[in-house]
Amino acid sequence: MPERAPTAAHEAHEVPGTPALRARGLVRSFDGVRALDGLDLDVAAGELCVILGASGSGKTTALRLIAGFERPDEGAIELFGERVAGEGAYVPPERRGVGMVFQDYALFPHLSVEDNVAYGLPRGAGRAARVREVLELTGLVGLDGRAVHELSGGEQQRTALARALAPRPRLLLLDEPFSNLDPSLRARVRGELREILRRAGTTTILVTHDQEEALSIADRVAFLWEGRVEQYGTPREIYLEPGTLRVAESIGDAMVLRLPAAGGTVRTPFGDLPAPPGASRCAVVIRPEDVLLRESGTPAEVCGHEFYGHDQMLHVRLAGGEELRVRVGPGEEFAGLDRVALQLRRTPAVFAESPAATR
Amino acid sequence: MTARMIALPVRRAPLIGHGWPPAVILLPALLVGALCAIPPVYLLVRAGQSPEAAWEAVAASSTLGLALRTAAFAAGATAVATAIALPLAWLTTRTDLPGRRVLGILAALPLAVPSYIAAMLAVSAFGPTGLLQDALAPLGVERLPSIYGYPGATLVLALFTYPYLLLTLRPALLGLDPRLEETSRGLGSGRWTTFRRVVLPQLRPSLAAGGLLVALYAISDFGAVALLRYDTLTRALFVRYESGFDFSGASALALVLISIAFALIAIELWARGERRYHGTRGGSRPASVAPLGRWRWPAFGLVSGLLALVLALPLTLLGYWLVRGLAAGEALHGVGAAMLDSLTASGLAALVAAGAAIPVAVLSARHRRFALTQPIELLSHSGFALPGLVVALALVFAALHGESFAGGLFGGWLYQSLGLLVAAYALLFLPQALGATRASLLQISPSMEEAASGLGRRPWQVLGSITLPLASRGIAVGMALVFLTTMKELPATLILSPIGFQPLAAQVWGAASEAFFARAALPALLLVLLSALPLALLTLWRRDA
Repeated sequence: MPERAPTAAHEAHEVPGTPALRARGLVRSFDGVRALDGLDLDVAAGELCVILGASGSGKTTALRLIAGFERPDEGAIELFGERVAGEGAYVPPERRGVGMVFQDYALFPHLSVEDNVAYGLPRGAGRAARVREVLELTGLVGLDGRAVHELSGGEQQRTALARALAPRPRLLLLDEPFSNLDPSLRARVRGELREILRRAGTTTILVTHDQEEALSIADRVAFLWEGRVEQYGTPREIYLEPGTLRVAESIGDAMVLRLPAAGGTVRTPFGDLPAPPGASRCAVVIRPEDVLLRESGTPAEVCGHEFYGHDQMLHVRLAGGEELRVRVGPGEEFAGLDRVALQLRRTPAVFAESPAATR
Repeated sequence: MTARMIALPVRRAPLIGHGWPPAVILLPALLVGALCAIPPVYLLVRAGQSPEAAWEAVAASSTLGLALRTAAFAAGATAVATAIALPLAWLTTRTDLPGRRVLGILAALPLAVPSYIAAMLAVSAFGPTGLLQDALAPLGVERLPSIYGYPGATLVLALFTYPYLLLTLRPALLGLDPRLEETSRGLGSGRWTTFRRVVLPQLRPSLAAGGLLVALYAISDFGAVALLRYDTLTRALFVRYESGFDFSGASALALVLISIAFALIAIELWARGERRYHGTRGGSRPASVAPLGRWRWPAFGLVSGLLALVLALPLTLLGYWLVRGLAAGEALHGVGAAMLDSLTASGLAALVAAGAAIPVAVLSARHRRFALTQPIELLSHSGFALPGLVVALALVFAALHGESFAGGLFGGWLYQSLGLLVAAYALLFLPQALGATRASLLQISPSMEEAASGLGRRPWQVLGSITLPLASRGIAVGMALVFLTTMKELPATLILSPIGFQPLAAQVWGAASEAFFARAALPALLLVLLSALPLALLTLWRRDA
């Protein structure tokens, strides 16, 4: 059983030294609806932080507050120790040194690729050289004279990135950078982006609703829920050690067994587990890939089966009536099989549940 | 009054920050709003200064009669124009009418013929001593049905203002989601039932918008009703002005006219309906085309007949009077100067209106939540509701008043100056420039401007390097609209033109009101052609867009 205290829901992750970004208690409402409701976030210099959240969780609003396109109703933002918003301070976007890549890229249609990239650079000797440098970094050499509408989706994205990187921003913000790309392109573009950012060495905050994207690219993921950070940690922590039931359910495939608990123990089909102190009901979270078919173990009845190619899913029912899904490799045959024995790969996460919260 | 659209928020316009708009936008917008407030505020103050006289003018039995006649005129013209425009719009967009694209463009061109020229030609051809009467007299026709009065005025006005409705209906018909009609047909409704129950309700906002334009044109029209001898408030107001400076009485009549304009706007808002027909635009497929079958050529004949009446006949008549005038030794002097005056005034008005429209349009498209946005927008649209004659009179009164008030300071430079004339035009037609500019701003993703400011540019730099270049097309369309409307404008031109300044419109009027048709022919022809050119360009340009 993991002996970890779940990360307190919206406690900021303290980073050593001066963080690139420090946001405290950000609140922003639109027409009475709270898009952000006390957001705290620290991002260390050089890190790639991904804000992951469903639509409406406030992630784009958070980005726009950091960029300076919106002002917080409450709370404060510091960039590298400098207060840029909150408590009377407000530094306009053009003086924040923050680069932003918009979801729709927002390329200037009346300017060429080169002129788009040069837009944020002061006139002077170094300008052309810097443009060249960034075009090389983003692999756009040869496309400089093109009109924006002549570019493919991936090229447009890289142009937007090049334009944002050109003035050497101290912080780069990316709003759903892959959502306008063909799904088949995404994995490749993601790798390219990661590489470009690594070489540029820029502190980056990326916003997405795609968990695979978040987990694969981030140094650290902030899971956003209803305008607050629900959990902040490395991708591994977020997936393997979810701090709350909501994080566990939202990220990855999760099955939840809701079971009574007594005396600090919850009795599960796979044995007794320690329950959080004082809990009378618990939610036990099991992921399909953590369930193993073994010679011996918890007996279960097979009630269905789907073949996906890269893997397959077995549907089983336990003696107590609980239904589970078991992810297995593509090679195994299940024809004629009606009973199996199950074991767990890892100890499942257990969360206290108030009786009212049962569904 | 082509592109109206009292702006309603189409989507939640994002804004940069939620503080104040940048000074580079706010200060000019405030100035525009304040200047636009002058005519209505001045009229109110003026009427309020001697309330007894004002009330006497309003309560006079003749005023009520005039108001009723004005309303009847607006209603009749709108009804006839709808009866022409609705089938025409449908035929040229949704059927296999031969040559429907060309016919659709041609059908908008009567907009280039100002109502006073149309009325003049109607009198010259169908009046009691007109060409038709002359031709028929040997056949024993003693008297044609009279062209004067309500039927003639209504018909003439409707025949030359239906394009306002056509221009709002055509894009609406083309933009309808074909799936809705297909669903209706699939549910067992016939073509006519589908049109009545599915298409027509969706056209309601466009019908209301176009109808309002026709009705407002009717109540502010001065030339046609004067020539066709139908008394409306506008005509009475002009007579009162010409017969001496009765400020309070005229102000009161002007306020009655303004009330009618606001009533019309209220009717439009009601007729447009609560519901928004956003349509889940399929986007991909164009609207379906209905085969006309054996009605194809009769329909073509009907449309061609209409175009012959409103395009070919006016041009032929103008040509006829021109030749007859030349043959009779009519002098052509002054026409070149008049054309120059027209181009100068229209060009300046287009520039001023476009310049004034930019800050207001930015405010409206980008700072919708700012507290002063809607008041400024409303004031900027006052030229839409205020008849040209009313604005002109208010400016005359205000200028004279201001001069007598400030004494030698102004030294009489304002009244009868080109500046005041251009200001009147700009105020009257600002809504057109505003509509076009705002529409093009709304098509620019606000993230463009945000990207620019994120890259370190100050607000005025963003405006200059991103916003204005991207909106240039809308700004140009607005300028073209203002240019061509100014070219045709009559009442403000007559009242505010400086001594010796005589644009084409004034020259046409001077000759036409004395029934010197031959003398009016050349300036009228030039006026129509100069207006038709930007109009045709605009129609083509829209098609490309």
